[in-house]
Amino acid sequence: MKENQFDVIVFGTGLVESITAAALAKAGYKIAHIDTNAYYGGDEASLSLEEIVTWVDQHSGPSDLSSRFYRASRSAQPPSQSRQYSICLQPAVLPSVGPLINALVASGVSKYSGFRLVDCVSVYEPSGRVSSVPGSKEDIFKNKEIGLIEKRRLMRFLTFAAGDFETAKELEGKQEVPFVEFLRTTFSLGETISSVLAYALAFSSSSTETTLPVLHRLRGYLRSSGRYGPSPFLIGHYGCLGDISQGFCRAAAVSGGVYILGREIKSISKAPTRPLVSTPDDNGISELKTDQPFNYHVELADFPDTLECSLLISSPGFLPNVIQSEALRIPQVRSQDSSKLIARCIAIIDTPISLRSPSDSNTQDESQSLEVQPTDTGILVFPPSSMQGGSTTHSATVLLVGEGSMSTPKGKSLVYIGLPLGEEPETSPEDVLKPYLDVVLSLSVNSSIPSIQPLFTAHYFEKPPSFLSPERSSSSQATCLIPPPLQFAPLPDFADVATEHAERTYGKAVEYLRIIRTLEGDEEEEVAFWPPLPIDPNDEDDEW
Amino acid sequence: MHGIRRVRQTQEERQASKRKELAKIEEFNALTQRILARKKGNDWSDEAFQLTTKLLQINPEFYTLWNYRRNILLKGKFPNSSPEQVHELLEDELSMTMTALKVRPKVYWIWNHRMWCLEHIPKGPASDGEPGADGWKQVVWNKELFVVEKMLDADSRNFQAWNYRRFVLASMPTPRSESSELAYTSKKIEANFSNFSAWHQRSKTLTSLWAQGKLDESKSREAEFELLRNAMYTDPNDQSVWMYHRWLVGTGGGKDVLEREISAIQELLDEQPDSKWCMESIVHYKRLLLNNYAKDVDTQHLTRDCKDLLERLETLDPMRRLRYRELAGEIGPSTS
Repeated sequence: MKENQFDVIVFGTGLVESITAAALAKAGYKIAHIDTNAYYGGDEASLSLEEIVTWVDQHSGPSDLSSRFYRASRSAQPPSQSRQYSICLQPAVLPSVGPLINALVASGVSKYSGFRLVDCVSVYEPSGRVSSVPGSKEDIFKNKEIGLIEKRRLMRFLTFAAGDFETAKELEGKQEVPFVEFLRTTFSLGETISSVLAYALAFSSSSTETTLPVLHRLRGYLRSSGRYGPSPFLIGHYGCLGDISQGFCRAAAVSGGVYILGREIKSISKAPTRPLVSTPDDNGISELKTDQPFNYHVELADFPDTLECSLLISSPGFLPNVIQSEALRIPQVRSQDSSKLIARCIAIIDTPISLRSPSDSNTQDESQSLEVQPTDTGILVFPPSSMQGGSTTHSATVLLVGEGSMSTPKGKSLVYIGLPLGEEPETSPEDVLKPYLDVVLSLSVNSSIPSIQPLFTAHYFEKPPSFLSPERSSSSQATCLIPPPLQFAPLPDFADVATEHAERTYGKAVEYLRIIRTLEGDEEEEVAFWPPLPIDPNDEDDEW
Repeated sequence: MHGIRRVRQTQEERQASKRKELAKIEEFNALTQRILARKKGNDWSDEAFQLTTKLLQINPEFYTLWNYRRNILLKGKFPNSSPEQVHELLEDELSMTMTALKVRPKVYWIWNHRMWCLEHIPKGPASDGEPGADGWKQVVWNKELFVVEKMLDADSRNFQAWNYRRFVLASMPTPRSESSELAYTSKKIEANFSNFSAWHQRSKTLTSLWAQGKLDESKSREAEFELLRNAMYTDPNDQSVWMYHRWLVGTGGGKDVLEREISAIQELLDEQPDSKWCMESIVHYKRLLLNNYAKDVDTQHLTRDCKDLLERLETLDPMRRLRYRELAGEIGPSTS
């Protein structure tokens, strides 16, 4: 292969593409990874405050075809120390057990970054109170608000949900029932506790979500708690997903991947097809012997060489129509959400807040400390209809990110708010989210501060990528792959869904690549997502 | 393990590691012979001391050597040392055992040696703050409590650590308050109530506090029942909760408490009909009523209830059916 020739060219350094690129590079393929942005991470990027300001200003217009983000607005004077902020365009947390954790460990990318356990998950109650969500036996035991019989029923449900419920008789015939209804009828759980379970433990986004997919998700979270600590969720340092995407790119680069950022794409075109030469062997069987075909040519602005590759991996946005129509759109893994858009807010505050309820202990002997502990990193869920002026159909999720996750300067915290919407609202994103932000700003640890003044706020709408059916017009081997688009997913789910998409894309890519070239280890039928990590020879266990 | 390349050892590699092992075994045996010979000869020298260190690092379960080591200290080193020197020697022993415990936290002989060292700390003031003749002792015991608490943080169900904790608390020159001990058990129970040791410690602490009049017994008992009810309803299968409940009922309260608890457990049984512990406990308490308050209760009804429950238990828990049958026999005839 010549220097300008590659097995694969990947466009866009979002999470899905970055994981795919790292897997391909580590498997031994020669890849080039291109992003027109000057930064890594694409739509999941972690940006400095100044970069966010620029980004917001660029997306302030109304909705149009060129971008998923629109009607962005921000407050006037952003605070200083811009570089000490890592603000992520796609706020997320990672379950301790799941595809992304596995990928991080198996690829070695986990060593590039640090992670922090989320401190707590809380729910907003219609009474106006914010209280911690009981997610484990210990939480339920300590909780003073849940009655005895309800504790029993709740535990019975959690035991069911953490086990092999697929064959359980409680689920028979009820897979399609709305989850909240399932809780109330099959497990006789009250309205309040069912709401807390559905929205703040299982992270359902709307009351119509059906039982089986919610149970699958919930089981993942229940099995995640205890792995690294009481909380099931981790958050990555330096802006979570943006830094993780960058980590996978780094892993790809270490394995020989070539990275080109910040260049405009002048053209992507199909190379003229080369005839396949078939030579029959002694038995009269023809094997298509050919040199590796380089099917595409890519030209970048201010870049001397034309890049050639056998396989393209890209979201539709980069691809010209003629290539798009022949590309294979890889189907999605899970049934995904149908939200039309998401309203988002990013706020910076410099006053500590607490997401925990003040009476969190059952012990009667401890001297009651009236001091409330601030929360560094936590999640607050607003179930549908829990608040005047809030959504009646969807739940809003607030992610509080403090200095413990190395994404803010000392003393400052980030507040991310996300609310899926069933239809385009008439008001601005700021108006839609104001009631939620107001609640968050009222949670100061210092009771003499009724409402915190944020240092900075930004709001915008986000449209999920358009989902087109995975049909291809051509029946020949696809040489261009479009990974499944990432629809809206609950806060802890996004990263795992992205990893599953990457795994499928990788699988399809290797399927094709094995036809056109052989690598060492290709004799094995199964396509491993990551090659085994080399063992450390200094790691000898010298015990008697 | 997943994701780690399998190291295929060749025939030669296997033989080489076997040879290495045999060499180690020979070395160990030779050392052992040398030390035991010295011991026989009542060698209390420093050389012998160093040899025990070496061997105990390899095998801390060789208790004969711990004994020998203590004899060397008593007969060889202490007689010629000032209290400060003795203190220093014992501090070295404490850090040696600490290192050993980090690798093997459950070896009785290491703990034993540690206890011996702690008890032999001489009277003397400490340099870091604690005044008076018990200064050294207080510092050392405080550290020890810290160590045992760290162990209980790592594994709160390590009954040896709980036992050791009681030993430490009892040995401190200035004792800790029992109410702080009660708070400690609360903390451990809250973190995970499936913990016999924590409940046991709680029962001991409460008994003492009640006896000393430091805590109102009946109020405290009510609070304990409340705590237990929360635990029972959260996890009716947890044995330690039921055991503690038996103890608590046994501390007093009379017929009213018994009947009230029986109905609370019955409610739980109605909600969770397959709970064997609920059934067994109801039988146990109804029997207590029958045995202690025969004149004030409906003996026929109670006897019938017990027999019914025991019959259900035979089906629910067939492995113990003969026991339930025997219990039913003990209750005596019921006139139907």
